[in-house]
Amino acid sequence: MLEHKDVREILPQRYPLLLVDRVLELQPGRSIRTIKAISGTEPCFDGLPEGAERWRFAYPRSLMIESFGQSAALLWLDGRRAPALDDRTLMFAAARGLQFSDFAYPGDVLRHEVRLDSVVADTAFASGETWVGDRRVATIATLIATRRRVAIGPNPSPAPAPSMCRQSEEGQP
Amino acid sequence: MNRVAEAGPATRRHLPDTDPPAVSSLCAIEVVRQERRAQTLSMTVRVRVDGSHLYLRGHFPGLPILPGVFVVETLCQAMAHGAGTGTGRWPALRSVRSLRLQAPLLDGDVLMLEIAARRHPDGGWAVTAEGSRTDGTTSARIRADFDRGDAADA
Repeated sequence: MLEHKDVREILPQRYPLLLVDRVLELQPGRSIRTIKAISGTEPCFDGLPEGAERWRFAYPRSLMIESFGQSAALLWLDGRRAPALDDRTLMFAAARGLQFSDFAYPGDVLRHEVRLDSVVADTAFASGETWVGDRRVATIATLIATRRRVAIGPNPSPAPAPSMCRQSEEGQP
Repeated sequence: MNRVAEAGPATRRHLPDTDPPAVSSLCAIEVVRQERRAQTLSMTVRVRVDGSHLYLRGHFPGLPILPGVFVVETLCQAMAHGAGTGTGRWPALRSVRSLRLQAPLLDGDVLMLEIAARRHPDGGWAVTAEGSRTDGTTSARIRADFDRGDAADA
């Protein structure tokens, strides 16, 4: 089992787009089971009006795909830190046959069950399902990830703002 | 009901308080063109990639790239805007038949997404969309299905 600190060491994504909390089981080269807990305090729910209907709290399916894809990346990397990739970045390249059968809400825990179907050079093919308890909420026939060279644009991103927790820690004597 | 404000002769901009609330902090669309008929919907929406956006700061630190799934999110927001009824749940993504992400979108790029949707017999929508980058490069192609949106589960 990999804890979140391990996941952070393996994947390059960071808050709020690091969408795997824990790896429950990893069979290198074959399959992985991960979880991601949905919280009502996530930024994707920011701005909901008071009294918003329940359906407005449905977890965005785009983020569900991203969370599944990050789980597939962990599987592809065998739960180890990605090697230095010069200017290449692990990228979501394509998908086929994604079916959504139910919604997920704050308080739910997504459980991704991912299979690594094949790896060809720098491209990996994965499939699987996403569950909330015994409810299957998504089925992914094929998800394709690759390593791509990405040209850095002329406008570098500003440094991430410190989190409230970090500010608090830094403010302590 | 979704409201839009005129932002130019052919441009309608989403007002912040009317963006699909559950997704407003992911990426906010600007509706450039919209034509809805009984059985079809045609739209062009635009998203500017802002490297200082909260989500892009995490994807990736020091190298902001629009997450590929945000192209899907852009389509979801567009369908909420263009095919939503104004009452009840907006059309939800039911399936992605195919998605191809062909060119990354970096800080400062603009994604233009051309959307064509046709009604399913069950009231849902069959959608095709093609995204292009500022330099004209095709960045994404999507074929997807949305439900009718008014069969709220809550």
